[in-house]
Amino acid sequence: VSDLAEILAELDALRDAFRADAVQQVGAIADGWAALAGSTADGGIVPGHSAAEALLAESHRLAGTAGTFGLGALSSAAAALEDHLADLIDAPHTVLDRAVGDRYVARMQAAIG
Amino acid sequence: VDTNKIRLLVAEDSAYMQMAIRTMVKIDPSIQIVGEVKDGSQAVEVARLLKPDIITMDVNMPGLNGIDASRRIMTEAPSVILMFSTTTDKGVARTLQALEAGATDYLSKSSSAGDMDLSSITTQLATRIRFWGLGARPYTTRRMAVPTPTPDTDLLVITGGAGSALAIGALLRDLGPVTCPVVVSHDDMASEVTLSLIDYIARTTRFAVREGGHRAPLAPGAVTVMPAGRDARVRRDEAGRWILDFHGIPPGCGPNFLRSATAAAARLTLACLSGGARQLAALAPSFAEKPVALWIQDPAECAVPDLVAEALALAFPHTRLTSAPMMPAERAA
Repeated sequence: VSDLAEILAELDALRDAFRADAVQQVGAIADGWAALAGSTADGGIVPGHSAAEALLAESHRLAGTAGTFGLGALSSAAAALEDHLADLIDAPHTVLDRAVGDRYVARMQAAIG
Repeated sequence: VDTNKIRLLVAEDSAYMQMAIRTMVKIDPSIQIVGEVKDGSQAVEVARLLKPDIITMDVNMPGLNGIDASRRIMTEAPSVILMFSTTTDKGVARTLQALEAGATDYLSKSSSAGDMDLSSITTQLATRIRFWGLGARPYTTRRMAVPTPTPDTDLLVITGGAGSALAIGALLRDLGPVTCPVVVSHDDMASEVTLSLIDYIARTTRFAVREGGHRAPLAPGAVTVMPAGRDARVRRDEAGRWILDFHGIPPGCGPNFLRSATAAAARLTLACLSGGARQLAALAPSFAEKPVALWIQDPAECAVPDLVAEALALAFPHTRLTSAPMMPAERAA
């Protein structure tokens, strides 16, 4: 059995580790978005587009974990990209607006410093 | 495996979230993690194999997502499922889909959405796991012994806290005929919750429902949901219609609304669900000036039982409770 103070200390250490890893995660998401935008600029995203699905899952994981660890700005930027990707996947062949995703990626990068 | 413990299966594809959950549940020695899986298909398989008392489930996971996994688990190996949700538009909508698929309750991952921090997430998680793990019935199947509003009731207000959506639905489903406006005021600060709550009420109850707007009349016999994080005054206009007035009211979770409702209504009925109890202590002086029919949720029926009990003790030190899922508070003579 642990008391709350011990648990919070463990969670703080976990948050520090997550924050360090998140730099790489945001970088991977930025690369993934750039690749997706480059590959689909003229045709939009089709259902089952695996790169878009993978990027959505990655954004979701980052948004949820960052939120739990109190990294609100990172969480909300990742959640915005997640929702944007879901919209693109749900509305096939919508022409992808690269600038929208770029904005969310920039917000994530700013949040993680 | 200790059979006296609440046996928890964690379905979560984020390694950090798995570690966080593993750390958080250490707060309660009655909780034992019996399995950890990273996708929905594994969750179904392991649930069938281990028959856990409760499963914490992420909505988005690779392969089978949390919604479809919940549906299959409830068919193949029923268990209590506590969804971890995010508070984006889509996150809340997906969470409610999961509840319709059979999930029992949800907990927000996002401490950014309100005043939650790691400490409160830890406490809430352990509290919910204990509450549901010990056999509480889901709100989706629960009946509430909701009193009938007296005929002279001219405004019915339901207050709830973050995570009260299911209990609000249960209350409205068991609420008898009402001719006055019904207003739902909840203290969840995430604006995305409001539209999802409206959608949930529309789909699961008989009530017409809409979001409250500035100077929009409150329809009699229909439900108006206060916008999340907004406070307002409620009053009657020249035509005698109830309206909300947001002008000049700072953001908040309803103190002005509840005070003005108490003052303006000839006969206010206030139904107080779990987290909504936070408002009671501040309202006590208003109640002293005018009688209010107060319905409170039985603490034993609340995921966070102490909240109601403590608020009532502060607001009404002489209040006596009877044991019913939803009942009028009685003032001791």
